[in-house]
Amino acid sequence: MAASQLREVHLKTYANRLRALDLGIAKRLLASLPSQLQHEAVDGSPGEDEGSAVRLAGDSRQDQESITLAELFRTLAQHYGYPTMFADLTLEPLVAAFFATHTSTGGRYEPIANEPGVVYRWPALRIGKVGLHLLRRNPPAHEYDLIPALDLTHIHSAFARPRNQRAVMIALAFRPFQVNVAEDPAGHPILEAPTHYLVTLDPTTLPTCERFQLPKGAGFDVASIAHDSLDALFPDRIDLGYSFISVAALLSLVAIDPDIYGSGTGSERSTFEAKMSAARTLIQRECFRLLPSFSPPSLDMTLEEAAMTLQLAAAHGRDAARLPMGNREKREEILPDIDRWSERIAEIGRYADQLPVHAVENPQDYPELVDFFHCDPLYRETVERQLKAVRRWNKVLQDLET
Amino acid sequence: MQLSQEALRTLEEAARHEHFGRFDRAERCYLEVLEGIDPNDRSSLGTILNNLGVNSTNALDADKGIGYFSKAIEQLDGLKGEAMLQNAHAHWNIARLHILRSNPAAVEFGEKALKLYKTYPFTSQVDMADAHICRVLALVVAKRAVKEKTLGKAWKAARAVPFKSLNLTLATEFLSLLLSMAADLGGAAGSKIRRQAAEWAEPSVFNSIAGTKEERGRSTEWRDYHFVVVVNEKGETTELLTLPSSRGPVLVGYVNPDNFRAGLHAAGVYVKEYLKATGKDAQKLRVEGMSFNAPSPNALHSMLSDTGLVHFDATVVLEGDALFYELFDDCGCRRLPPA
Repeated sequence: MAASQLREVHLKTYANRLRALDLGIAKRLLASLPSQLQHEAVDGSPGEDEGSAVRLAGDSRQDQESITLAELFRTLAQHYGYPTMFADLTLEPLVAAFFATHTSTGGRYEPIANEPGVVYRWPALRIGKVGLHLLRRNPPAHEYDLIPALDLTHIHSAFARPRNQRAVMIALAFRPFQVNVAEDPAGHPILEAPTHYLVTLDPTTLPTCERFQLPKGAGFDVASIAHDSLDALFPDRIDLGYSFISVAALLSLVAIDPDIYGSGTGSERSTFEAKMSAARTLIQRECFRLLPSFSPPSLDMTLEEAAMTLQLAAAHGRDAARLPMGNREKREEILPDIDRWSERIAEIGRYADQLPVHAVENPQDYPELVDFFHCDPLYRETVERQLKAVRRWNKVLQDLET
Repeated sequence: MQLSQEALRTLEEAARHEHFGRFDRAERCYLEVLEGIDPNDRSSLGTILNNLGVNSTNALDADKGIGYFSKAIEQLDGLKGEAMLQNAHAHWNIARLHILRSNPAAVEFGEKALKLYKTYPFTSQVDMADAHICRVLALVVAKRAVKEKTLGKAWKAARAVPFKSLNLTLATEFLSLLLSMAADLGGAAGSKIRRQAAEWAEPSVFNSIAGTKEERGRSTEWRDYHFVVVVNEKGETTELLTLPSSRGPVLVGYVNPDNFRAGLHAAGVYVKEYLKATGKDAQKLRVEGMSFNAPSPNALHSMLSDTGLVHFDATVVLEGDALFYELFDDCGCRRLPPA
């Protein structure tokens, strides 16, 4: 197993400086996805949760070691840019080499010319299709030697980023799943596990860690092998997971579930429900755009209403974060994150009304869709490029395996 | 739709004003947003113009509403995506206003609205049902034949959604038409439609229509007039609409919410004067199914919460309410005992 992104940014996540993804919201949004993707019992027992998470993760067998919905949401959140207690690893050396030899500036990845790249590798035990144990010592002598890790390579193809990156998530903090929101925008203290209770580890210091240094400029060779890998590793325009986590992330920052945190007033509830309704509408529109078999649902509101409701929610969240109460420092840290996620939502809202991806691929098969939907040239170009990149990327990985 | 945060907040303010019946202020907010929109962004322009049209319609300025909806159509025609839905809304709104004015032009707009709703993949069942109902009533207004198939489709679409979710005025008229046709049809088929309609419609509305129909022909009292008193911020008392109804024309008066009791009294006087002016003696006026067509259900509900009136979606049915009998008695109208 190789580390792809053990950089400074991930070490910062140990500090739990932001609230965690709201699992209640994520779970409710999951119900917006088509039946192939959503779990069967929203308020089911932990066992049912596990089954549904495995189903989403690409494994329909119930008798294997699996992950819970909470773990699944947080691993996805980590992959789509929401800080968690996980770190990204990969099963694919080429992916690790790519991230080790490229630097990201303003969302663009460029090969690093003057520094060597470093790839780390650890042994792991497979305990199921999804579950892995990274080993502190090999062979392990104690339970302590087993570090839980989650293999997302079989996740549904609608979640393109983790699937294409052959993602594995490793928990770098003891009790990582119990960490909850530090403080919500309304000022309610809801931190379950103070950060000083957490035990964190640096996996590069483990005795089982192997270190491989790549020569300077290797990024250019990697890019050459991987072709347009960036579009395959981050196919955001054709990635339902990107939309799903973006919406869940924004709501985690700006929506307060009245049943858990609120005072239970009618207006509080209706405001929350309006935000959830807008989120569902946006997700379902994205399902229609991205999943060929998805039938148009009867939506609660129009796409424009949904996008505007979420943007207004972000604006109100900013206002709440500026209020002179609670931990000012933490509030100000939330502001740029609200901006970041609301920008993503605005972007998704713009594309959600465009021609469905399968019709972009085969316009002759869907003349009626071509008549109904916008298809901006830039959108079409991006979708076609990313579809092509994903196909080529899978072929490259297949060739490397054989 | 690409709007700045400031514009979004202004829109939110407009919606709040509209909700509480402050239509002038809502209009100013919408116009302010409209000015800031890129003239090339036809979709956004059309959507805001639609909002303006709805606001004007709620403010009972139908001419202005039609003007805004027509401008919205100019912007939205030919556009794809969500704009298609907004275009359908604009056509439906114009059709509805034409129906209320008995204008045959309703047919053209009703047909186009239905076509657009059918074309757009995300049309809600409620919008589709409203569109079907609108087309049927437009044909009635234009004195054109309504095919059994057309009525059947509308009835199927309407039954698929709750009665309360539909546009109440049109749904009530549609129900009335349906019951008339069921009566004409007679037999088991007619009984079946009537039974289905009873299950679907609000009991008070169904009983009001069915009861009125049964009493027709046995009386020439003014019970066949259906009075709609509209609450708005102007407190004007002028006629706006007359709706050809199986229950007689609908008369519309205005009540200022700031002085509800006095406004209602004025409306009562107005109704009485109207009847006298049109050669009808109002001495035997029976207050039956008095209704309020309010700016919005929630706003009206909050305004009238202390009156003990029954809240009924966009319309508050006041049948049997002592306040109204009293007020209409004050106007010199004598009510008949309930049937």
